[in-house]
Amino acid sequence: MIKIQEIIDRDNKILVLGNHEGIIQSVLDFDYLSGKKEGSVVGIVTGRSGFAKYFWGMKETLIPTLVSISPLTFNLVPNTNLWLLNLLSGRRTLTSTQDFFTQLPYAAGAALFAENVPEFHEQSLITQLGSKLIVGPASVGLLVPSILKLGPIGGITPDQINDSHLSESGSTSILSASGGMTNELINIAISAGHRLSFALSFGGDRFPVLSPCEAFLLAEEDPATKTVLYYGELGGDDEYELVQLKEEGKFTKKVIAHIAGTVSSLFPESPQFGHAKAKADNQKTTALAKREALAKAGFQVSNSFSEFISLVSKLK
Amino acid sequence: MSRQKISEFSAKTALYSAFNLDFQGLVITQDTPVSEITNHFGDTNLVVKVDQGIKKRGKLGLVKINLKPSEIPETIAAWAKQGWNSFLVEPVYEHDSTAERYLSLIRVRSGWQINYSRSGGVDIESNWDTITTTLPTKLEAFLNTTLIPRLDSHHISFLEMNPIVERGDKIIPLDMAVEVDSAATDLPILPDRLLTESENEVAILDEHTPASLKFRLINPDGRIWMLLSGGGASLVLADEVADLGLGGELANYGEYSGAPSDDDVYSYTKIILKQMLSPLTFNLGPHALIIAGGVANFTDVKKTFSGIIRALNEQANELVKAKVKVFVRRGGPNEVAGLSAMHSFLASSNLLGSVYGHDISLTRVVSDVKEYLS
Repeated sequence: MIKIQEIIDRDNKILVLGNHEGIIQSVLDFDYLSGKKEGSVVGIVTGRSGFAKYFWGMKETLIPTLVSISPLTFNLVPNTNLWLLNLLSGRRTLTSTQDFFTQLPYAAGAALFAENVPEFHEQSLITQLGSKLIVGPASVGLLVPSILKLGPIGGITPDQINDSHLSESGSTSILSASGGMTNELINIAISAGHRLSFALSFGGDRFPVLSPCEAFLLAEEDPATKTVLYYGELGGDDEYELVQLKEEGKFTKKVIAHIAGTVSSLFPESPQFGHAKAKADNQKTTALAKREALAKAGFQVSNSFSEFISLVSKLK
Repeated sequence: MSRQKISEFSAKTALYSAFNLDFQGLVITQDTPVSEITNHFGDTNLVVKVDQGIKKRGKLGLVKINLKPSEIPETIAAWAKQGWNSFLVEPVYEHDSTAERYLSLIRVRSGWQINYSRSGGVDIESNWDTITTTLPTKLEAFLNTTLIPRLDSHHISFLEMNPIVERGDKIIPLDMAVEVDSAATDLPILPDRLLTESENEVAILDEHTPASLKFRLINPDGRIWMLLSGGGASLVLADEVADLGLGGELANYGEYSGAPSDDDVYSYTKIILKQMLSPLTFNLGPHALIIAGGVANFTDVKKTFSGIIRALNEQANELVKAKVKVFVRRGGPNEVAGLSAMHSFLASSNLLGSVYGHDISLTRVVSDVKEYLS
């Protein structure tokens, strides 16, 4: 799997599947505000051959639209990472992602945006493409300040990109199960005066292609990252794997973690919350049990979200 | 987009043929005449079970064995009094209890977690130390070549069979519990509980939009009502209400997400306000409506807030009379325009609690609400 440092060291280009003007424009705005010479979006697969109009700064620019993914379309200069930004629906995510990596096997990775990707399809993605850096499904993407914005992560208006200082690099990494909370955590870190090393949302599904554990290992291997801000939720065993990473000495950096979902104790049985994984099937997967396990392993864990904010503001 | 239960009837209908078995079960209700049961099975011994996705039915007395068709109505009438309404009838399969095995398959990241025990039956919980992941060779082959592909094709995530009985070449699952992946399954999903009227209205609204609209009534007498956006932020905000000791006042949980239209948000808000102001449950004293969410990545704040304002405006007088104050926090695309429209509406309608943008922390509104209610 590609390392964050290898993303920074090389040029990065993005092929978009599906159309979502706001998101695509935000990637170009990010590139422009980061001082790049050209936008990172090399093509949009819309099913129609032609060009789509976007803005590059205040000027209009044309981006090729394609009938389908074709390896011949890309004359990438060597030393370039190619990424897929897949904005198609849940049912089409598996086949379109497989198609992309079959045609362009040298590509570095992808962000999968759709919710409702079947678990069975997620298992196939993990088995077949687990060596690529694929965030999602149900992910707002991957962000490396001034280098790569793969998805709506960090916001879609120029104001949001500016306010979040997304063209400046720092040492705080954000890893989150929720798209909205990814942005919220970025906001909290920036307000506290920190800058990001990288941020990603692995998504709230049961089997995200990049697992939370793998996301932590990306942070561990990234020389710029000093601290990880982690947002997780009730449901699933991922936090116990993080505990194991820590105990085995495979993860050594500072973490401030918040696990949401204590409200489920107001219900006779854990309800299904917004994300597919967000349901405690047993005591071990409740938010409280996971908070305790993480704290015991030596992670800094907040007891409420206000406490999380205050821990981040005290972070040196 | 989550794991949901299906009935045993649906499960056996979908899976029995994989075991090379005919499924003869019949679904009945309290109104099913005995003649229909007799026509289906003849005058033979039958098993009757409550079939509504309940665990540990055997222990709870919700399974009866060796009933004649004529004895069934009495059993069912007793269960109906406890609130059950759907029942499965099957022929009795005579076997020795020592032949009962336990088998479950759970979909996990790397494939399937399979648990097996030779000591199956109602006491499996106390025999849990007999559970092994090593299967008899023939059974393992059957799972890999036949059963698991079938589970994949129906997008089944969990299958528990307790007991199964092995006889000769056959494996007979006498009891099945199944959870499916609601993102893709073709099997009918059981409601996980009875929906209230307002919950049902939101569920219908949710079905008719590509966005996601969720609403769950917790306590209609509660004084804190929530209109939240985003799967994560809604959870964090609801947690905060409970963490500040206000759990008993929390009236509902819910969220809208996935860039809903302003009409979607308008209708959603209307349903919540109707429930909130329902004269059946309304208490005197101050009430709080929290309209909050994280810093949106792509949901337009101005657009969604215009739908909310439209619905609030229609009920403004009633809300003021009910001493409702509205507490708002939201960030994201068109934040400034959306928040200023909300602020001027709330101020002019005498409903203003507080209005915050992305520069104020997500959970601050909950502290404001606590102060207002105390």
